Amino acid sequence: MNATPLVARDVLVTHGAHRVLGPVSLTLAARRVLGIVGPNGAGKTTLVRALAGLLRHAGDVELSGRRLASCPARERARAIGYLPQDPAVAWPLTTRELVALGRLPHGDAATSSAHVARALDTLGLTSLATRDVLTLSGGERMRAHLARLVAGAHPVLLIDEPTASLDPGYQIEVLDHLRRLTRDGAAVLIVLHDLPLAARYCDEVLVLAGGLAVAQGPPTEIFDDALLAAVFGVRGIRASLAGTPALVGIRSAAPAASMHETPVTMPER
Amino acid sequence: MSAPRRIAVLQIAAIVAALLASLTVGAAAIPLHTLLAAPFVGDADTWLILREIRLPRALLALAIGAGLGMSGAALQALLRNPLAEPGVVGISSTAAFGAVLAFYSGLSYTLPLALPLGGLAGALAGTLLMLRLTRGTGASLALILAGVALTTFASAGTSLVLSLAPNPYAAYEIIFWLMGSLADRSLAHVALAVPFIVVGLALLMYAARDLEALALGEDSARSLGVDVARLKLAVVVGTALAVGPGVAVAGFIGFVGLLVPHALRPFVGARPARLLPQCALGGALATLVADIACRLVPTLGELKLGIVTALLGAPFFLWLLTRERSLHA
Repeated sequence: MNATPLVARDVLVTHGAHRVLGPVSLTLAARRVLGIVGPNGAGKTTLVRALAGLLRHAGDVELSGRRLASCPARERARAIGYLPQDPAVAWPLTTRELVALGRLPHGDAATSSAHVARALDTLGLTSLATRDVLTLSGGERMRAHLARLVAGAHPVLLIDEPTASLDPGYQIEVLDHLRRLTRDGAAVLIVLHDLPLAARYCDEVLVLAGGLAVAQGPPTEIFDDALLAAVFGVRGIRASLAGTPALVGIRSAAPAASMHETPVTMPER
Repeated sequence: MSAPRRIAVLQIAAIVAALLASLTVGAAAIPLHTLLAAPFVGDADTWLILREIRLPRALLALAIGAGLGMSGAALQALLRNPLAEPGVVGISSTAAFGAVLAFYSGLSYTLPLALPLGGLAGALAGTLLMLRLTRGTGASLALILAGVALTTFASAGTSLVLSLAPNPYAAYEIIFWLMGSLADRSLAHVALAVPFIVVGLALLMYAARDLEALALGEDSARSLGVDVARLKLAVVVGTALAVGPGVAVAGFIGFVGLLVPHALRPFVGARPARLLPQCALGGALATLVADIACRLVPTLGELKLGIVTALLGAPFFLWLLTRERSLHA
């Protein structure tokens, strides 16, 4: 077993005298999904960019035991796959060409590579391989970007709000794909806005507020009403899923007199 | 044969044909058979025309056109904006100003190399300022404003120098040179400009591979291991080398860098590694053909190349602007 894919200690990002993020510490374990949640402006994107080595920061980030700061760019690029929020494609590329860009850190950006074919297949994009990415639907395009990450064979994936502009069906599809990637050993960090989705797909969540980690742990333990009210100003709606209570929805924190706290029960799946 | 390769072969064939045409067409027509025999039969008159007039012209057209075409494609990729072009963003204007300074100060009389170096310095300053003004984002509004600012400044500087010219003929000479022309250039001009342009083309080609990753934006490109700061520097210096010295010897030849990438993209795709070399060929071809047209159109005095490319390019640019939606964003 390799060393832990990514360990961050006291990551701190400042903008002049203003502290934007941290200190935040976290660990990304192989085959696990860590969700980052928090209100707007909490520093989620800043955290992801710092971990990806795209932002100057204090503190240590270690990749499989090696300091990120002393990693050559190529090596860092092979280790970490990064997908920004609303990833853009600046000029027409076919799906295959987009996916092949994932091989750039490996020095073989050839579209004919077997890695590219496998990545396309994994995300069910083989039939769309020659289509212009800009003509794909939102969900298909996000799958193409994920396939780019798959082709890169990165042990660590940092993904900023992959579901931000997708309809509910595509959101679930994308997260299912990400879950599947962890089975191949990837350590995945995703930023999510949707708390029930985070509760359902993440092994662990880290709650950011005002640039600080206010809670970290399994979503079933973390997402209690005190935290939801304090951080997001909402209350949770819980239901029993497969025998365990899970967060399935949220509602306004302002307690309405007519509303009763009756737990919803849902059929087990 | 793949489509891009077929286009490249077609372009090269067209360049060879245009080159032959360029050497035969002019005030004294040289029939093709005389041209082809010239190196062997020692035909001194023909050889003189070729060496002193036609060959420099053709070589400059090829090199300058290649520089404009490739740098247009490179700027469009770097800024991720289809409106970017050395002329539009003001680089050609600052290069012209640099060359005018070298010319007017008399530096270029004592040291001929000062002329292309002046153009290079002007282009370098212009490119750096343009990147600074657009903050590398390539938003259309920022890009065009940067172009307006740089062009206005450089034109004002050039006009200032012209108004201070010691005699009207010097001013007249500079005005005509600014219009952009390859007439009356010698092999000395070729030697002054072409080596710079070749180095610029090589540098841009080197940058082309990293430009590929910019399709996904700067953050993603960096996450793929691309040193974006170094990439920008390579494109800046490459563009300045490919454009500046050319402007210094031939004046302002606009819109080649805009038209050529747009004409070729539907056939070879938008990926920089493929598009850039094709645009070098396309730019060379377009400039050579436009220069032949200058000689063929029966006007009193020869038509200026810069005017021909602007007459073709400006309407196209306007059309592109009407299609550019993000301009309003």
